[in-house]
Amino acid sequence: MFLKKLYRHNKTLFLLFSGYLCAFGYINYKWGVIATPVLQYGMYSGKYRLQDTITVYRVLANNRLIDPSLVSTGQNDFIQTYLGLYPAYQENNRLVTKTFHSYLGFLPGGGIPAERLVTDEAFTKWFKQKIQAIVVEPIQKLEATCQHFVWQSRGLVPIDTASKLDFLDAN
Amino acid sequence: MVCYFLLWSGGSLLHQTAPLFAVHKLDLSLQILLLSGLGDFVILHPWLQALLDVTYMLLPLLLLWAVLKHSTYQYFFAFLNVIYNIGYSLLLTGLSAMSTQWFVGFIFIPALFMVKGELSFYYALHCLRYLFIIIFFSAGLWKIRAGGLFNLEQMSAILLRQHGSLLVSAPQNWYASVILSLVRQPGIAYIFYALGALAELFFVVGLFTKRRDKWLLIILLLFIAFNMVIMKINYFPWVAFGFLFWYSKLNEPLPSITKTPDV
Repeated sequence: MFLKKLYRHNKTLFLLFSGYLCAFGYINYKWGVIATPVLQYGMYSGKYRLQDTITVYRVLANNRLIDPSLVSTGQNDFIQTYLGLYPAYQENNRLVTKTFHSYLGFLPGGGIPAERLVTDEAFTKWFKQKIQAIVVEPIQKLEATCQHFVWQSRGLVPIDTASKLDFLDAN
Repeated sequence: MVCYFLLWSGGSLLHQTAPLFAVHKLDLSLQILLLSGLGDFVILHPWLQALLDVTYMLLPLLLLWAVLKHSTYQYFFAFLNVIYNIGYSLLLTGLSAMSTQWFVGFIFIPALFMVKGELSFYYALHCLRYLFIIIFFSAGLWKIRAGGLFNLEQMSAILLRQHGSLLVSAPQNWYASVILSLVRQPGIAYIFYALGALAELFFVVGLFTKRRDKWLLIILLLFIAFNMVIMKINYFPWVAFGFLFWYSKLNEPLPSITKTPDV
């Protein structure tokens, strides 16, 4: 048996290997919190439904829509991720910190990391630079919208009108 | 170096990301790192972001040099690579929206070079092989545990989520047409999901025998390729784990015998 042979040959390696396996088993059994490098690999394992609402962000640079088919997957992911993440990151961070309070509450400061507050202006400046790199031209006007869709029989149909993202104000 | 190039070409290195804020995740290690204040310090100092990126590229090169030269620094550099790569991946994923799972190869592969001697290397290689099999198998188990495998519209719904912006903004695009046709036929789309889960579950065979390792290697490469084509998720760095299944066929080296001096 491999573990027995490993134990006989190198006890340190045996301890590291079996320790990691135990931690991996525990973290995966508990379902939720991870501790890098002990991870869970459950991406897209939960149930998803065709009726789920899909959120789509669209960016207009100099009044031209950035076509997701003309940019790289990474660039499109950047747009879709950060426009959703920015308005939600403070609440997300607060909830995560609350979850960890029982583990880290004994630390100085109650285990609450200092929160960097980013202004809309700072985010817009940063986002504009990123979009400039994508469209490879100076941006005079930048707008973004958010719209929700659902799948109905043969295609995605909007369930609301596209709303302008007010936090993005580069004009 | 290929993976470093992937990060660079995707504009995903720390100095390219130029992060603005930290994104906390349910990761205890990340939370401790952010509590130390290092995350904010990195955000505020672009020169440090560049320095961390350069170090991230240099450390594997130093390890390669030490291995090729049979230098005793090999063990130190290997250890440094493992620790640094954990820290770097935590920083990068904590200050951006990237996934930590992408970096798992960067963290584990250098650990192979932390051991001394051929026999220990053989055991380390097999430890990593077993570890990867368990990781891959666990992904299949998750699909059973969380119920995805028992949901016939699973893959169609995932494709909508994954490619939503493309389907809405450029439905006439050829790739969008292919994805839309898959979404419209949930049964066919589900076959891809089920095959993916079966591929992950099949890895359990590797816990009992090494005779199917070539199959596991092929399955791993196909899995990565299909992920890239259908999901546009790039798991290329996991190709490094494929070598574990290629080299596992090598026989266990004989233990070195310490010669006693002739009297």
